[in-house]
Amino acid sequence: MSKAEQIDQLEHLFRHSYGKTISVLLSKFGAHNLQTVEDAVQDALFKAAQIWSFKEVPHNPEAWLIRVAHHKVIDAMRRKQRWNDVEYDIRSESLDTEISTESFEKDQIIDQELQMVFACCHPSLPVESQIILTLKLIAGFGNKEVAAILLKKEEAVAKAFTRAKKRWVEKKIRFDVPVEMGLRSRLHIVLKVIYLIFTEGYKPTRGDEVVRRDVCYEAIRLALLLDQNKFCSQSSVKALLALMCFHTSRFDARLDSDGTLVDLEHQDRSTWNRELINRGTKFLNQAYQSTDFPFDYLLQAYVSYYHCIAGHYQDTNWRAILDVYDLQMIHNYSPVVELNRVIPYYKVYGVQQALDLLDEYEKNHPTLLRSLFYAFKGELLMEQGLTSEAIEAFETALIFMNNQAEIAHIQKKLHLLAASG
Amino acid sequence: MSNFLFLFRGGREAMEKMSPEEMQANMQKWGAWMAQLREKGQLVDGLPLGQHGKVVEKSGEIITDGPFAEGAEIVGGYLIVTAEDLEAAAELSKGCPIYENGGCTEVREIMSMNR
Repeated sequence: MSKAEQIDQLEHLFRHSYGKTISVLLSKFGAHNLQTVEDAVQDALFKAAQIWSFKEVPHNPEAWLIRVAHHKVIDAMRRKQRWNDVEYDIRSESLDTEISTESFEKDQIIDQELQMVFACCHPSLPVESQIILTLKLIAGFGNKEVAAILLKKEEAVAKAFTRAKKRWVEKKIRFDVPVEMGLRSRLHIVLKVIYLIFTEGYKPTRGDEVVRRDVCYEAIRLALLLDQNKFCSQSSVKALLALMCFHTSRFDARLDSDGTLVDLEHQDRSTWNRELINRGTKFLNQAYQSTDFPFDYLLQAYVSYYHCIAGHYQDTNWRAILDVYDLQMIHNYSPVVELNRVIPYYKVYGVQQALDLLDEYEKNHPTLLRSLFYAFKGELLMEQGLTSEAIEAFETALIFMNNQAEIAHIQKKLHLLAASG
Repeated sequence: MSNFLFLFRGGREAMEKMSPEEMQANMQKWGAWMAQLREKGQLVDGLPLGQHGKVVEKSGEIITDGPFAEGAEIVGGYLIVTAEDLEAAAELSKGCPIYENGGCTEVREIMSMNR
């Protein structure tokens, strides 16, 4: 294998190794050494980038990075100890004794990374902190990338990250808690954070599709990490994995070349990723067979599944999808579910019935999800041939929208209506 | 044909600010650039240099931490390549990824004992 080929096979090596190395070193040195550990890992990556530009990448690059970063932490602590006597007794850590690569067994790294996931998603932290800590410290994204993902300014991300880390230290959150402890109460928080990260990645925005795709795959990787652990591998994890696989299979199809949103009806289904659909279906079956029926993600995954298996939009099994929505209304109710149910309802019962259902929704929630409400309303009125009413609804939807791709999508419809009228 | 030394100066600051993904992308560009030099049989040798060093003067009477140069002037690595002449060697250096990081390449002919 040539060197260029070898390097090409290291996809995301640095990003993933960043998270793994941080996890391994933090579980050893503790939260109060977070800054030292972060600097050491950054230095180790820098050294690797320099040396590997010129020479062969070592056989096990991950172990190399962990070892070098480990040395750098000890070095930094030594230097610090010279100035003030820190509590950690660094003298017992000799730099000369190579820490063997066996101490970084694959299983152990996975465990430590998992512990880190749970620490980042600690219930005492606000959701935004949980997301930023996970993206930065586990996924290994830089400030600029996180800013692009969360649609924030780079400085704002840097500040939020510093705040989150401070809180971590204040709350004395530990990184070495075995995953099985407190799992029941905390797994759902971890899943929620993973799903939020996923939806941030899936959000259609112009320009940064590469980073967004990485975020989706990263969310899947985190869930797979949970799935590998016998305590975490629960049906809700499988259901979330199924849901994310189905969504990601349509990643390329959801935007056209101008970055405009393409709805399910008009997507080129031949570009859907079959492999992801198959994987999703496997996870779906595993989740379904489990005794504790995980309503939350499983039902969403089923809706996605019925879309994925329809060869053409016309073949979509709307009856089955409506059934799933009805289950969600009972077991997993939210206004989002209620509003989205209008679409399969329309496909099964027709335009007028669906419009009545929309009116009912508006009575229940006069101020919620306005952009989606008016977009659906415009759609249904258009179906009924009420052009001017449809235009009015779409224009109202625009007032409530701030996502460029969604705005362009509605504008395209308005354009078509204007041309036809 | 002669051998030429490429001295890479600067670019470190930009690299230190990179995210892991960007750092890896940068490394891969270097790797690809060097791989094509190697394939053409023009790459003789090369190594990166550490950031710290010593400057020894007056037979060792004065030893200080160095180099003192501004960040942009610090040599971060070197390469030895073969090329027809200085112009051709300079031409070869054009594809180097260091320019993206605000660094520069110094190209010098290595003097031959045989000519």
